[in-house]
Amino acid sequence: MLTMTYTSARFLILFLPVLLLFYWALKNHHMVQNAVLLAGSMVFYMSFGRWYALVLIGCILLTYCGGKVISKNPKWIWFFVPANLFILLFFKYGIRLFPQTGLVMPIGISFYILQSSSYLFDIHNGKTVPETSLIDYALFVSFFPCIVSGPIQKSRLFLPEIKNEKSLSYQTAVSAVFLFLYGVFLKMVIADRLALFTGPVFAGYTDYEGGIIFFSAVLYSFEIYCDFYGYTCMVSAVALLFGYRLADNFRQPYFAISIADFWKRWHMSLTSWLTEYVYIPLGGNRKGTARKYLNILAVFVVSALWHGTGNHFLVWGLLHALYRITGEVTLPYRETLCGRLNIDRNKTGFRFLQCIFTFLIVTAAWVYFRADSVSEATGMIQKVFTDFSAHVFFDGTLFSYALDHGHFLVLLLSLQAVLIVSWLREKGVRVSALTDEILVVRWGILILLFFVILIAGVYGPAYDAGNFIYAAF
Amino acid sequence: MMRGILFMRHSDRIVFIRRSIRIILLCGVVFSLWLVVRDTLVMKREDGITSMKIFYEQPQNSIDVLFTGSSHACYNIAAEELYDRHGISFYQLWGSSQPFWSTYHFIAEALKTQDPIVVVMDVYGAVLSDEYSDEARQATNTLGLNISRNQIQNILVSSPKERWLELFLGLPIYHDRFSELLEGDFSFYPWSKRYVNVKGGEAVYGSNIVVDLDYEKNDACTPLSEKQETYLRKIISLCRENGTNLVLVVTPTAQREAEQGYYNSVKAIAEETGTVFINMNELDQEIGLESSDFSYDDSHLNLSGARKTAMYLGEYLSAHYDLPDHRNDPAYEGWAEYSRTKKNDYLAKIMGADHYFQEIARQDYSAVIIKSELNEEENDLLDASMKEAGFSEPQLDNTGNRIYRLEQGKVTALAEADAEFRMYDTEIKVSFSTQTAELGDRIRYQWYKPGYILFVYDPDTGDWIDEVFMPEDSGYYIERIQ
Repeated sequence: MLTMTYTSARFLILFLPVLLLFYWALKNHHMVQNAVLLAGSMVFYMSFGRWYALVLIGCILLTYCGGKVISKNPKWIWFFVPANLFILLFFKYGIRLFPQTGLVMPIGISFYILQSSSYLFDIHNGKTVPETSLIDYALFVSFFPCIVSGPIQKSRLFLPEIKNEKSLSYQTAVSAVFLFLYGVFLKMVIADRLALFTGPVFAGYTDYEGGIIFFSAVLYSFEIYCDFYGYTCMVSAVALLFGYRLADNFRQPYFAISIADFWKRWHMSLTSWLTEYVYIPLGGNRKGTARKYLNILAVFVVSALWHGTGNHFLVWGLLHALYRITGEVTLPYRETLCGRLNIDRNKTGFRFLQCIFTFLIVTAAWVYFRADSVSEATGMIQKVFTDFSAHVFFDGTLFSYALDHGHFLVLLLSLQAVLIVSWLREKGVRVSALTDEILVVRWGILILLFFVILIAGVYGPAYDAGNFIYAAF
Repeated sequence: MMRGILFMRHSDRIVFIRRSIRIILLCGVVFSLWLVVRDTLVMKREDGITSMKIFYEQPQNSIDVLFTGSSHACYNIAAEELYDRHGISFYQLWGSSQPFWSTYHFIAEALKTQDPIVVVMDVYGAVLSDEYSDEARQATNTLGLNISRNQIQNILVSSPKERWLELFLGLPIYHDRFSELLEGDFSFYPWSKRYVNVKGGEAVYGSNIVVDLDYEKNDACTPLSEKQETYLRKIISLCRENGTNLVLVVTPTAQREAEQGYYNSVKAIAEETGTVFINMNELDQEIGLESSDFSYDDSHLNLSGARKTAMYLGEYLSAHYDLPDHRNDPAYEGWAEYSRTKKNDYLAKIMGADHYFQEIARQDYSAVIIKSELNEEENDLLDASMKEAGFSEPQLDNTGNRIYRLEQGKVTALAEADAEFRMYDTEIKVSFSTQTAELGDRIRYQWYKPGYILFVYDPDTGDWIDEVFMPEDSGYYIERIQ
């Protein structure tokens, strides 16, 4: 069976239209509708590998039964949650011990294990009741728009959504088309183009000047954002077409003015999961300052381990923990200093500088996230400081690598467009506002987006646009 | 669904119809723009893509002889000779290493708008027995075709399943050309008709190969693949059904010995079906080919060879088919224009002095020749070249500086020192002291070593067509004056 990604022709031309047709043809038969959506989700997931479905079904059955058992005897949480997490740990870490088996980590496992675990926690904490319908529960775990890279749904919010009768208005469908195209634009025009530049630099940084390494690190910050946010837009749009409204997963993260603010804007579903199921159970900020910092550290370590097995992920997590804790510790001193220097912390200029500083330290951490090892990431940062020369930006060196003037022009214009959209979103303007615009504007934007993707998108025989960074976790 | 629409409230039905019309209109706008974007971004490669696109611009039912097949149908036949000598209108519709199945679809597409008296098909495709061509040629033999049944069928038969969509859409293959677009990329739209006077041919200068004319001939057949044979027979049937004469030709090649088995197989099918088959590899004497001067590389002829094959084919076709002479027909002025352009283009490719003077003589071009500081021995070299080309009394055997006028095969001395004069309404200034020559506003050239400077004029078009410098120290190897 051939892999179906959200931008592949077989997904867009065959799978999605056929599934939508069957789904909405059964509009008045909600249970059958859910069964069709579940079947579609399984077909979608099996396109990545048939045996993956066995792991998914195993997880569904384990947690479905677990929910019923825990509701009667909460102590069983100590069995079912570790058992569920064991599946993740086995495929993330354990299969390394058995290389001869040829097993690989099933795609999306990190996401659906967290999602199903949240169901067990919610039952244990009395926030939800055990699901009676296995089909509905299976759909909650395997809902195809979210299964590859989230957003991670919480059972108490998403299971009722599954039960609701669905409808699709013309405006919603138009919004979904806009959102999907915007997601494809972020992914194929920006993220994949940036990857052409950053990929070789991260793969062999020793061949590059410090200036190019610095520039590449900055570009990677945009790449991972456009890649993951682009994916999120696409899956939100697909979910909308089936009558599901997913919660936001990003809120202009690079407008953040501190690391705490950044994590309220970046991968919000993961942050929310870690806060609710790790940070708060550990005591959160209720058990004193030292314990609070320890809990922050624990959250970021868990986050790092969830992202990957390499030490560089751990350093990335520790750096963010360090940023957070340092930020909290120094906050009173910084406020005092600003007061003495008569600096108004609410002024736009000050906030802008905070924003830039946050971006730079997030970028430094991304270097560890993206590099293949701690030593390589450290080497890259070292080279930025020891081998930096600005001439590479002026003598044409910059354009002599993977991207020429034309590509950089596309990037510049595209990132400006993203900046404008982000600013509008920050001001509270939603994509649905476009559907209220006059026809010429709506069509103009739609056609423009479509052709920009068609012309400037990185796709075709020379590229593989189907790989999303977060699908690897 | 129809029931649902019928049972809608009146107002809902109006909204539904209005939205449906909008969506259809939107699709129409997107489709139209997609066609424009596609025509802009597609690679303007002559080996299949522009050859087909320019074919679509040709006036309906204007082509009497359609040359088709691989690059041999282009480079190995200087088809303008057919017009110059017999007034035959033609088009060279070809693709690089084009397999028979693509040739079939090219011919089928061509027959939609043209009713040629003869289709001359190069059968080099017999040598190409692979199931599919390489990826680049799958594209070049497909992307020039308009959206049509032929295009789709050509894609299905020419490429593996995983390439079908990208070849049909085209843009996945060439969309990233946006940063390298040139003026020429914006001229292949259905409405532009900018290349109506182009007839698909191309010529190369030089000779890198000595061909063994006395190769060992045999009658053994190397079997064609089932797919090749199927499509060769389909081509024969297609032409027959359309009442078009088909001539299968093997153009002269350097690989004649290795390839003869494939051509024998084609010959067998031709004989079986009563189709005309001409193997030019066996007609060197009749065509007038000599081993060292006609082949550019293993597969292609240079212009000299291509002209000879074209002359042979022209004689053959005019003798065997009732082909009208269009030379005095204003509706066919495009072919005269094309022929002139090809000759002028060719002159601008020549690098050797002897060939250059031969071409000037052959085309009756005029020229201004400026001679700077040459010794007698070197003069003799060029003098010989000119005599060989047929110029009478070259009179270049004086040392020192001279200016000559070359016209209608005669060379006349104009001056021995700095001079200003008019020729064909163009002001020409020569200064030996500053070593500069000016051709109106067009050229101001400063030479830097002894040699000849030539400004060449085409009396047919009334244009100065080439300007060259032939330095003495490089054996008069031509440098183009920009």
